[in-house]
Amino acid sequence: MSSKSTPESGIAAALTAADPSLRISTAIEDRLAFSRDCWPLYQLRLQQHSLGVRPALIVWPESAVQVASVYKFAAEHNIPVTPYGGGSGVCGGALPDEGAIVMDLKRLDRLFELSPEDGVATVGSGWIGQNLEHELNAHGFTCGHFPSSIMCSTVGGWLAARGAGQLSTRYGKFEDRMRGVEWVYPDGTIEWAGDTAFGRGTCELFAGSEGILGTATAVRMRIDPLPEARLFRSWEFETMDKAVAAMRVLMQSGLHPAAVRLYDPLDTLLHSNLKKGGESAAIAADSSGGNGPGILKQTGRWLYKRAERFALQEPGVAQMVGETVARTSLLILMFEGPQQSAAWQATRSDELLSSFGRPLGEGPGRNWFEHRYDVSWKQAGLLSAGGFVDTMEVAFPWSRLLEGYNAVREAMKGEAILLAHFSHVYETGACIYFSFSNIRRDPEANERQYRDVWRRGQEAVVRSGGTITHHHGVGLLKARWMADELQGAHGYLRNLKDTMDPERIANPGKLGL
Amino acid sequence: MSIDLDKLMQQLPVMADHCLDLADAGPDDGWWTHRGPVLPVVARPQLSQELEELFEYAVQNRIVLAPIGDGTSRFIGQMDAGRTVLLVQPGYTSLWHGPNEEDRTAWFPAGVSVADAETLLNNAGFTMSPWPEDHGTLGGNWVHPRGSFGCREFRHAAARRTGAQALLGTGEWVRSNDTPRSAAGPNLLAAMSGCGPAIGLVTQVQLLIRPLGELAVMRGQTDDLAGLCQRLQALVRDDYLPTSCTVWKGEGKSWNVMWRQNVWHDWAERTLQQAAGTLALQELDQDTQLPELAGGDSIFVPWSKVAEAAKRKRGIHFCGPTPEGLVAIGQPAEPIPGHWGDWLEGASERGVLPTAGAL
Repeated sequence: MSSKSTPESGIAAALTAADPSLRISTAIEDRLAFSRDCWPLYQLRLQQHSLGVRPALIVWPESAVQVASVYKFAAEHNIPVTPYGGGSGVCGGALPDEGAIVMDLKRLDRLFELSPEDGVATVGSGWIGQNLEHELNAHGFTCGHFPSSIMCSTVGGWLAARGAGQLSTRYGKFEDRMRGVEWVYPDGTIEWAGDTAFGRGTCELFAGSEGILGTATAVRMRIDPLPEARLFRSWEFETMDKAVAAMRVLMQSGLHPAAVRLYDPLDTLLHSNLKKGGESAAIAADSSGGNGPGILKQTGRWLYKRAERFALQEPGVAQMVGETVARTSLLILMFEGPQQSAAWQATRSDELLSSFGRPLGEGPGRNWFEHRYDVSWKQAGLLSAGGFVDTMEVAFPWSRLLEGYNAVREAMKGEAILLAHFSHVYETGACIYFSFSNIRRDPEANERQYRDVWRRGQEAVVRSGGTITHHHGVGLLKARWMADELQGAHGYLRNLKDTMDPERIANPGKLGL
Repeated sequence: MSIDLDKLMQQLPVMADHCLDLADAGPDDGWWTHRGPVLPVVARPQLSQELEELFEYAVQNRIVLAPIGDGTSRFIGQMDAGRTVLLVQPGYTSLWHGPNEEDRTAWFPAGVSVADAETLLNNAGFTMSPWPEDHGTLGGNWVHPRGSFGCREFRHAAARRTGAQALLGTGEWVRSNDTPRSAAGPNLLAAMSGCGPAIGLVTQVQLLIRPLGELAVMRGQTDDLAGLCQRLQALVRDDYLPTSCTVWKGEGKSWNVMWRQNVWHDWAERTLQQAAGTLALQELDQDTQLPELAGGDSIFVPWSKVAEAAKRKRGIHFCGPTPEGLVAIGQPAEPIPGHWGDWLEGASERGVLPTAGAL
């Protein structure tokens, strides 16, 4: 810490005086590092040589009591507090206000309880997902939650954003796995919720609250025995209509696959290597030299880079050309769990889908599984190359799914290259995961284009009766559409925050509150 | 402050006469009069507009609105003779437009009983797989989930209860948009499950429905509760999920288990066979009288605590099973913690909904 007296060092000294046990830093490198999460807008700002907002200090609490100390201090001095997990959020939910306290929770990584008999574990909210999974695997269990950010996201972050893992169709979203929460309110009160009917209700208020009502310090969650069997299937469909109909029949026939992923024709084409293996190249592929799309990789890296740049600069042309070539859609299925159940489901899926499409065997599914974390947890090279890439995950009921898909495509037409896959599938509907990208001549134009594409996409979703977010959360990015989404509930949540947090110190501005 | 019935009638011109009763008649089953003070007015709103007007009247006159369905919960709240209007959940069936077969969902008025809703669905070839003993309303089951609403076949509670419409304590409406799931902030409608009427008045609910297959009901008996729990847990972990399952104390040391299966696909048939073998189930005699489920809260009981809970409370009923344990029905009501009462009252602003006292 610098010996020079600054506003930051003054706050740090006062916080240390309030609780000498806290680890605190006002070092510029820490304040810069915690000025960001994985919202691509930050990268666009970097292109404009803007380093963003700096918090006053970072604090690393190791217990709920220390978290409470921070909140009490912040309330007394009217300083905003932003809880921070892995920083993997893509909507700005962990971006602090200038002069705020960032509370990095990764030291809350204790395993409080693991009950094989009851199939539950109580863990500190700061556990990094992959570390937790390794720990549970050693005991013969799995957390059942596998976001593509699993290597850099925390249990608390999963809760705060109502996250979904890649196998959510079997294991549920994180709120389905949550059984109780230790919560610290903005006034410093510590409370356990989840053992009573009322407590279970309040857990629903904590999930998705993104730090505006306080923060979780421990989570009791369901754990599952490691699966006995894991089986793969892959199918190709001539049209999206047939593909979506096949998915719906599958989900409404008593099956519960672990993974269901349908790639639209352009996404199927761009990762044609998926038919042999590999994750979606999409436009999120790492153009700095990572796994490029198989069909283009053969043309050489030099040619690929230029083709990619042309495509991104002329998205309307590129989309039209791509969709002229792209014809079929790829569906990947994975069944896991008890041997007999998985085997029955895989066999039954063969029977159900045979009248809709053409079987491609196990290979594409197996290869997706082996490469499922390859892309998403690292920032795309496209951002450092001067363009932008982002994803928008929305959801619709079956009866409006294709309408929503087409509405978003129409709204973004010519504004960005747009791919989509359908995943996180339910009996009642599905999530659509759009990936979009573009590049403009200068950084300012990039940001304008980025914001415009988001506006077009979200407005199309609202008009089509979908939800603006299925599992990434809201943060700052989607805040302006929250009133449309929640109707009267948005005002109620605003009142609830004002009542629980009258000084408005708890991660202000997120969720549009 | 007492309610001026004439004034109320004048200020609610939309509301038909039959919507307001003098409370000495009480609800039809006389339930309330056994449990609390005599209330001056019982309102039975038929339309959203009537509910809104009643709400505004309550705001102006500092009256508390307390919703009631079939009166099977143990909600007490802030009711007192002078300030409370007992608000009967809207139970009209004009809102029933049939199931949405493509989305496998159906919307119901909150005041429709579980049995009536199931009949409507059965006539259309679907089922919501209700608990056979569930006798509350759908709205009541939303705010006090129990019995079939904890049914394991639906894998997650949220999978079963797909949406709702409610008039919030702020006087504003909220209605789910039919999407399967969302991450747009806290799920206020789901939070009402367990918070009673403190957040809002549920007027419609949307449920996941399944095709109606052949309904099989089997029953078994054992003196070994621990062994029964182990076998139930093994079945569930192997994906053999009942449509509903009840465990209750029988004569002497015996425990009864009833397994219901909606056999609408091949795995359900296999599940029934597996359960029958594992639990030594017999087909249920049509004349067998089943116990009535107790009212009140449902409490989750982990497998490791089931034996202790069974010893602690006589006449306990369990339902489930879930991978982590059973759900005990008919537990004492839990009060809203004082600080939460204050927060919810502050959030509602208007002071119309009961936010303190026992749920």
